[in-house]
Amino acid sequence: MNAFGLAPLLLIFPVIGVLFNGLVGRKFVEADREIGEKWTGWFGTIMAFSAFAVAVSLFFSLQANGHHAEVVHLFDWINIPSAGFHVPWAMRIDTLSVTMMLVVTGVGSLIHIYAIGYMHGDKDFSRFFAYLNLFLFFMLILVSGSSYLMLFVGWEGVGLCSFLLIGFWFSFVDKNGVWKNANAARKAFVVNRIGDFGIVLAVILTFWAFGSLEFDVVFETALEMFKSKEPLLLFGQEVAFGSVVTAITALFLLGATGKSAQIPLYVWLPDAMAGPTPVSALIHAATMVTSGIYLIVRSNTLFEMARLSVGSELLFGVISTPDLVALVGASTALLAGLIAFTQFDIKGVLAYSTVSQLGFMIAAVGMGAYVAGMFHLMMHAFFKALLFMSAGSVIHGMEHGHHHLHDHDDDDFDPQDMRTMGGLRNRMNITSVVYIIGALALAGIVPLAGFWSKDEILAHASANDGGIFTAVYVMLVIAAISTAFYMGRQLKMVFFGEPRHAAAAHAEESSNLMTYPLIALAALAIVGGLANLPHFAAEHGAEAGGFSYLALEHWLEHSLHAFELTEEHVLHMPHTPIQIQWSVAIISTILAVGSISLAFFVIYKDTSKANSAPDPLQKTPIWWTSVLPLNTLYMDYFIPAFNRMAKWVAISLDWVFWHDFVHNRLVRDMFVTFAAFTSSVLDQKGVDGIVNGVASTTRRLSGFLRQTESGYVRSYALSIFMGAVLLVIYFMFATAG
Amino acid sequence: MIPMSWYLIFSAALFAIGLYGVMARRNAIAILMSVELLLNAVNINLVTFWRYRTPDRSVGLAWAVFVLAVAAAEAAVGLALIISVYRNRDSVIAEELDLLRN
Amino acid sequence: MDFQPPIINLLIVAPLLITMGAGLFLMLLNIFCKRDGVYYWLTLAAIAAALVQNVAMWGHEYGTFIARGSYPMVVSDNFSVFLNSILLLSGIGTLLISRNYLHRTKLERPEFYMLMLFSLSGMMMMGMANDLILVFVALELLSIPLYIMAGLAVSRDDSKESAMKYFLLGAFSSGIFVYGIALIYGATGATALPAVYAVLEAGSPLAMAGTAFLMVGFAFKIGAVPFHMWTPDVYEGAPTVVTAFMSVGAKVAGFAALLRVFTVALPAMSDAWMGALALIAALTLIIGNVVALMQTNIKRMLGYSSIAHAGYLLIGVAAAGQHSEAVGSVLLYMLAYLFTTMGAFGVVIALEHKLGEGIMLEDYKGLAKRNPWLSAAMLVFMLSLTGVPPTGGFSGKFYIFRSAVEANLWWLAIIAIMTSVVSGYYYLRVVFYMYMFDGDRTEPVYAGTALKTGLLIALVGTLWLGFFPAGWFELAYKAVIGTTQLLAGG
Repeated sequence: MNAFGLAPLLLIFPVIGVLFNGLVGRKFVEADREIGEKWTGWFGTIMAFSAFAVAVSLFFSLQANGHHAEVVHLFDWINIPSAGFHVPWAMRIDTLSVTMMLVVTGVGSLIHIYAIGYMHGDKDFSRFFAYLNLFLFFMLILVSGSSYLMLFVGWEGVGLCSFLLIGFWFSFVDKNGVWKNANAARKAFVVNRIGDFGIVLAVILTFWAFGSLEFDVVFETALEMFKSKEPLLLFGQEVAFGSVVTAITALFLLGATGKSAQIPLYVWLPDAMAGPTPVSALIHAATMVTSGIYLIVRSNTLFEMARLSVGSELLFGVISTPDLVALVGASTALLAGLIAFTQFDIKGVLAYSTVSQLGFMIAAVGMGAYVAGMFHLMMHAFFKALLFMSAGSVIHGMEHGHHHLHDHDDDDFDPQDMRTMGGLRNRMNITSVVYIIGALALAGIVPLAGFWSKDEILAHASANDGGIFTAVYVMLVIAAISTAFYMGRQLKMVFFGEPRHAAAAHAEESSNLMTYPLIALAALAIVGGLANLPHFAAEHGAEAGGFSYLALEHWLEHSLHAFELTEEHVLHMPHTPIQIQWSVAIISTILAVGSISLAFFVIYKDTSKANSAPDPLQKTPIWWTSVLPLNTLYMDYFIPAFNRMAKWVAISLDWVFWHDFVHNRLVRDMFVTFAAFTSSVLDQKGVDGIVNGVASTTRRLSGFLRQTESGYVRSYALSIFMGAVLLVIYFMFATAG
Repeated sequence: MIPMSWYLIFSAALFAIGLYGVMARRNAIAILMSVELLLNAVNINLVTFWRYRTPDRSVGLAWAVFVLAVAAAEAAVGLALIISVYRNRDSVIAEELDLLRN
Repeated sequence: MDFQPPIINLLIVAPLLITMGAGLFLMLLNIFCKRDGVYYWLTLAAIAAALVQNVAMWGHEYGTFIARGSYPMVVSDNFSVFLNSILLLSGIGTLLISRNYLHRTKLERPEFYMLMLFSLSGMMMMGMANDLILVFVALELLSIPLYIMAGLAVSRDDSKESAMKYFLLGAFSSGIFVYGIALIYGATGATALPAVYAVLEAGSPLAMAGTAFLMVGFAFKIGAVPFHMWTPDVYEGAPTVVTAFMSVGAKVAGFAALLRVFTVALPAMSDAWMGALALIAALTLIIGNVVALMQTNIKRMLGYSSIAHAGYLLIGVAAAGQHSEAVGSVLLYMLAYLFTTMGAFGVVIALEHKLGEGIMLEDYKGLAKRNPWLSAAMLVFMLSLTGVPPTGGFSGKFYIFRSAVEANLWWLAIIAIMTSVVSGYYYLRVVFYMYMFDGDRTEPVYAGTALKTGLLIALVGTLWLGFFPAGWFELAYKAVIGTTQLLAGG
């Protein structure tokens, strides 16, 4: 009995949700706030749950089907009979896509419930749920599409939803008069277009090289070409197969750096936290940002072929694309992990943490540890969604506390600033417990979810010799240490010690609608590791008590063609150890525990106050460290040095270099200069950042073209005449030559 | 018999004068007149080619009549537009039409 | 010289005769009847009838006005039927979105309908003309009414100014165009397209100059760089319904004649014109998209956008020099362009509360709150113009890029992709304004039944082409001009 026929429902349910909430939801909410919110919110949630149910039925169908992939044809899309080119709308149901569907719809449903509580009272309640459902729709297209073209449809669609949702509270203006949310939305859009450009080129190149865009056909054709070692004919030139596959995978990487926020395009994600918290949890932590990882896992055979390309076919002649992927991931993990130290915004820490964890996943898939990457993706979806939503609950609690004060002099109060928090564990019991579970899972403490997934990545890096593996291993270990440290710091600042602000002292626990999904996710963050437990003993044939170890690996390997090809000795994938690597596990556990403890000692409770409080890293450590002579050394040298380094990393590298120099100077200014040069706008209104402040540049640069586009008939006629003359000259040369 | 190239050169010169007129004159009516010069150059060409290339088939000749008719229609509409602009602005200087720019 | 009457079959030009006849009838009617509604419905009926007659001719190849021993002056084949359908649909679309607008801006005069019908006849003739001189006549027949229509808002200086500019430059470029015809006539002794093809030699300097001049005329009509400069001015100044009409009609008609003339008459020089068109396409894409970035008036922005879209279409035309299948992708793109552009202008019209007011980007602030339906529709149109799947714009671009690749114009495809990435910035800016600002506009949004119907059709068309382009492409592919069949006409 299989239920593949149900697959289209996966897409239909969210669409119904969009239509209902987008078209009539508003009327409901306007008619009666309470009932309207219930209807629209729960309607959207039920649609998400229904999609989840479909995903579950697909899961069982696949099991009944012996894990064989099934392509469900919906209808024809693009068809060019003469070229034998055919891309239908079809859903590919295999173990990989079903895994993603389960994560997207499962975590998505919980976030929907949470959002009913979180968005309570928002004036655009129904619009929010319409966007959320729309996002689910596109995300499901992305993961279920059977071709690169459908993947691209989803890719663009989720980008649009992300754009709309980051800017959801667009009218929010911060105290400096900056349109923070609207600007963040635009930044996300602008940066992601660069990544999308990579995807478009990659898709076109794929089509060129392999004559199809459907996954099956592309991979098979590529494999035949790989085996035959014949050069391809592209643009009338012979090109080595390795070069083609290297170029395609490199362009995929560019796309992934955009969507999954890796160096150099990660700059948009921290800003994206301006959106509502459920959005941060769903889109910017659990699902959309992982689509870059999904893309690479999906294209595993192409990446493995690129790994084996040698000589001049390497990128820049030095490095193969999977290695580059791994290095990009590892350095992002490290950099973002360090930057997270310096954040004071509760969501800011989590944002950089997300960038860092995405780096782990990208590094994993770059090293060929596809299962480990997917495993970490799932676990991360659980605990990071949990952390974001708990953070949202904290923010809610702080706002409540602030309202309670009736203190309206204090307009600068920022409910997200961790410096104003402290001691919240006494005020918000459930939230603090689940937050601590999430944080420990993220930090990689045994036996929570994050430990197993992170350990598998580290084990993979340590078990393989040579190449980039050692470098990646070292970087990832340092990143893991910093992960534990910043999470320890955050726990300490938010939940422990004494309240540093009256608002924190009066914070209140959030409603059940918000806490129940947190409890569900916390449970997942605790037991999630069972999905892919490594073997503990050498004789791993024994499956103790019917429990299956490495369940995820056995499940996913049906979709990872590269595994099979490695067994046939066509490809040579780096091998992931199936047995636990005790040395790695113990070292990382010790480092994580030590690092959290260190954070607890360094970040001292400050009973005094408030926003004006300086960097908590500079506070005196607790009493017993102060009696040791070590303390002077520590206080005078270690902490300032560390602060300086962390700040330098944060400010110079992140803000000055990437944000200001690369993003603003290179990308934006070049763009503006170019635009200004060819346009002749004299009186730009300061509505648009691109247009802002370039009036003077425009005047200087648009010289020639400004005169021709002067509005004068004569100069227009001159342009036509010149064009005619040039055409005649061109024709003379073209036919003469 | 006068060689064909004479006519062609004459027509090309007329065409060039027309081109120059369109680009150099500021008065909209003068521009319109220059456009008429372009069309007349075309007519001379058509008739010349008919006479020298296909004297047995009268297409070129007939086409010249077509072009004349079209030119007349164009001139009628053009003058009407110019007058309508003149009513509002008291001017037919093309240079002063610069509300729409950039 | 004994006169032999030509073979004439008026049924073949029936769509043309219907629209033209209806125009003449309205002129007569104008003496007796002053009720505006009558003109509107008669025009709609005439266009619908022409559409029916036109579609009935699908699948056949006819020629008419055949002088003895010569080629037909007018032909009707799938190509012309397809294009005429697009043109007639654009006429219907214009009528639907103009109903309320003309009334409230006091532009509702019978002239509008007559001129539109005449211009439509000229547009249709562009795709059916099989003789260079007829192409010229058609060009003028489509242009002259458009000049007047652009200046229809006599109370406004900008409308008149745009009409004047359009007229002066249009007349100039058609002068150059017809000179090109004369030169080709000189080089070949013929003006019928198949006859030109039969005689033309690639090296002839007269023919080369003639081809260049022909290209000037077409490039002007479709708004390609560097012949584009009138476009933004006229789009901005003309009444919005006229802008909508000419943005689809004039462009599609220009491309129709361009495709037929170049692929039927001038394949001998295809290397030369392919290169020239590719260069023009590249320039057009870059200038159109980049300059559009800075615009604050939505009509002007759409003007530059239409320049950019001419660039995408030109890629397909350039590729058609190599393989005729590219014509199919151009036709599909035009269909997508028809729905998307008509829809976008429909929204612009709904917001234009007074003639020439409410057309700045600023006026779109907070539209999502004021009218979620309208802004959702605009969102789809903007996405389609950007080329985001699954919209018609994406399907069109996909096929066009593919033909470019097939024709080895990969550099052009890359420029096109890059510029379409850039185009996202200005199209999505409209979305940005609609969804991410609170507006302080209180003027009503004018969305009457006719406008809503038009928008719905445009929306469905855009999405339909996005989701199911395959069937449409097959139709478009069947409409590719069969060069060989036409040669047998003599």
